[in-house]
Amino acid sequence: MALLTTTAGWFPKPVEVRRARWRFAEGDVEEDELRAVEARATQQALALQLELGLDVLVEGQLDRGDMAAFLAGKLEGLEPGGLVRCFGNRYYRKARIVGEIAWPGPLTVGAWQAAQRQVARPVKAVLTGPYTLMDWSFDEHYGSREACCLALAEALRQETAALLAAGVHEIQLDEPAISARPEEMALAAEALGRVCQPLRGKARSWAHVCYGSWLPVVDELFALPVDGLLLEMTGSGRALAERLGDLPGDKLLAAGVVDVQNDDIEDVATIRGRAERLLERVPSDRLWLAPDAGLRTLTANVAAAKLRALVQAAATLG
Amino acid sequence: MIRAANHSSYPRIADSDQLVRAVWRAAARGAATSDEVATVEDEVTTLLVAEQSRAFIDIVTDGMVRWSGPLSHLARHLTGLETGGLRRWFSTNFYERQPIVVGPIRRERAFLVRDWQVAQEVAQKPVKAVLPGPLTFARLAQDETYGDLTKLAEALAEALAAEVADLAAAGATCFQLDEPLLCRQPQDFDLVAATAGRIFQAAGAGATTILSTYFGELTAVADRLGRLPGTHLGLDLAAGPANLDLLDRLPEGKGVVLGLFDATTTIQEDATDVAARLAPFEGALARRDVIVGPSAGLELLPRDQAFDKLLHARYLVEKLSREWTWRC
Repeated sequence: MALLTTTAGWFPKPVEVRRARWRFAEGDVEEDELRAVEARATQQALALQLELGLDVLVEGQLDRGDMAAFLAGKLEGLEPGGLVRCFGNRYYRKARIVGEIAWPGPLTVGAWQAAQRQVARPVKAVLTGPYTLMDWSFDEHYGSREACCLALAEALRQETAALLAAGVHEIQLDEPAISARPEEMALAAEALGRVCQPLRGKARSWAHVCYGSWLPVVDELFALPVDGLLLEMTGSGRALAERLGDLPGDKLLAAGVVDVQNDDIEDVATIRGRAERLLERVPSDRLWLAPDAGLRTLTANVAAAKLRALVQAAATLG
Repeated sequence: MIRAANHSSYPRIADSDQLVRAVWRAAARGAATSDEVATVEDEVTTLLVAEQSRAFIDIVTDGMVRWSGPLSHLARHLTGLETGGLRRWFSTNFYERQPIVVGPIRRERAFLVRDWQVAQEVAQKPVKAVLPGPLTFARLAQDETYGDLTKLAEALAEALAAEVADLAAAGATCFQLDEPLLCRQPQDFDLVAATAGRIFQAAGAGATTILSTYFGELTAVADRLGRLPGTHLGLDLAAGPANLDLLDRLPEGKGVVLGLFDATTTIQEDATDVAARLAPFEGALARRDVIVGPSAGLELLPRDQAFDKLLHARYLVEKLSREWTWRC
C-alpha cells in the first residue's frame, strides 16, 4: 500500500488570477468577475490534484493574497495594512489589529464547500493559525501578545466550528511563526488547542510549520494539540528527522520532503530516499508525504512536476 | 549635541512606488538586464534619500535598496559564500536565505562604495554606511569551511575592514556595524570587541563609528561597555527597555545611538512621551554626542509608517535641543 499524500496548499496563482486581482484592486473589474476567475483556477487546481493522484486535496487558496492578510477586512478588528517585505522580492500586506477581534460569520466555508462539491476525495480546509496571525500583524489594540493571540484563537475556533458543521473532515492550521519565540510555545499550543477544540473526534486537525528553528522546541512541537503535523523537512526542518522517534504514537506526520523554494525537480528516487529514512522512525500507517510548504513560490509547471514525482515516490512505499 | 538618524534599511517599495519590485521581477524572468536593474536601484536610492531628508533627519542611509537581506547580501559579493534555505531574521516577519560559507572568505572588489556614492551625491547630510557584524554573521551562517567561530568572524572582519577603508577613501565619514546578536550572545563579547575594533580602525581618525546592537539588551555586559570599540554605541530601547539603565554607565566621552522608535510596530511613539522617558538621564546624556532614531531597520514597516518614525525622531531632537542644556 502506498503512503498517503497531501499538500500544504497555496497553489501557484495562474496569470489570469493575478491579473484579475490586480484589476480588481484598481477598480477595473467587479468582485463577481474576480471570484469567477478564482473559481475556474480552483477547479483546475483540483483537477490537477485528482489527475496526479493526491489523497487529500486542497482548494489551492487561490482566492487569498497571503496567509495573514487575507483575513484582514474579514475578521472584525483586523484591517489591511501596508506593504512589508517578507523575503527576497516578496511582500505582503501586514494586517493591523485596531480593535476587538470578533468573528462576523463564516469566512472560508463557502469557498471550501464549493471545492468539496466538485470532488469525491476530501478537500482539506486551510486556515492561518492564531499565533502566526498575531505574530504577522501589527497589534495596535491589545498591547499583549497573549491577549491578542487568544482573541484570534476564539474567532478562528468559531470558523473551525462552522467548517465542521459544513462537513469538513480535514483542517490544516498554518503556523510557520510558531518557533519564533520559544518562550511562547505554550501560548501557541494553547491557542491552537482552542481553535481545534470543536474538531476533536469529528474531523482531523493538522498543524503546518516551516522555516523555523525547531530543535530547541521539538518536544513542544510534537506535543501540539493536533492530530497530525505537516513539517518542512528539506531545509531547517531536516534536523527534525533525528527526533522523529519521539513523535507521539497517536500523531500523524505529513513529511515535507519536496523543496518548494527550489525550482529543481527532485526525482522519484530522491524523494523515495528521503521518505525511507523517515520510515526508519515513523511507521508507514502514520507517515504521509507532502511538499514542505505552500506551492505558490513555484511556477505551475514546476509545482505540477514536483507533485507528480511526490505521488510516484509515495506509490512505491508503504 | 543631539541628532536624528535613520538606522539602516528603509522600505524600498510603497503602494505608489514599486519600481524595485517590478525590475527585480523582470530580471528574474530575463526581461531586464543587470544594467537596467542597477539604474532603477539608483533611482530608488535617490528617492529614499530624498524622503529621509524630508523628515529633516541628520544622518541618512542609502536605504539598503540593493540588499537581499541583512546577511545574504554579502554572499552576492564575497567569494567563499553561497546561500541556502530561508531563515527568520530574529523575531521579525522577515526571512532571508542563510549564508553558507563554502570556502575562504575573500573580497575581490569593493561592493558598497558605489551604492554609498550614489546616495551621497544627492544627500545634503552625511550618508551612513551600514555593514553586518562579523559575530552575527558567523553565528547565523552555516560554516562549512572554517569550523571555528573566531576564525570565521575574523576572516569576515578582514573583508569588511577592506571595504570600510575603500569607503573612507571615497569620502565616507560615518560607519555602522550591526551586531544584534551580541544582545543574545554576551559570551561572544571579546570577539565582537576584537572584530569591530579591526573594522573601525580602517575608517580612519575622525570618523563616526557606531557599534549597533538591537533586538535585545546589553545588560549582561554592562561592566564592560568601555571595552567596546567605536565612537558610538547603539542601544535598542524598544526591545530592550533595561538598556535605559546603561545610560548612566556609559564610558566618559562615548557617543550613544538610542533606538527609541520601535521599528517593529506601527504604533507611533510621541516625542513628548519619549522625552519624559529620557528625562531622568539628562545628566548622563547631555554631556555626550547623542543620536536618536528607529530601533532597527525600517524595512520592517510600511513606507508611510517608516517615514513617521523618522519624523517623530526629528521632533524629539527639536524638543530636547530646546529643553536640555547640552554640554557637548
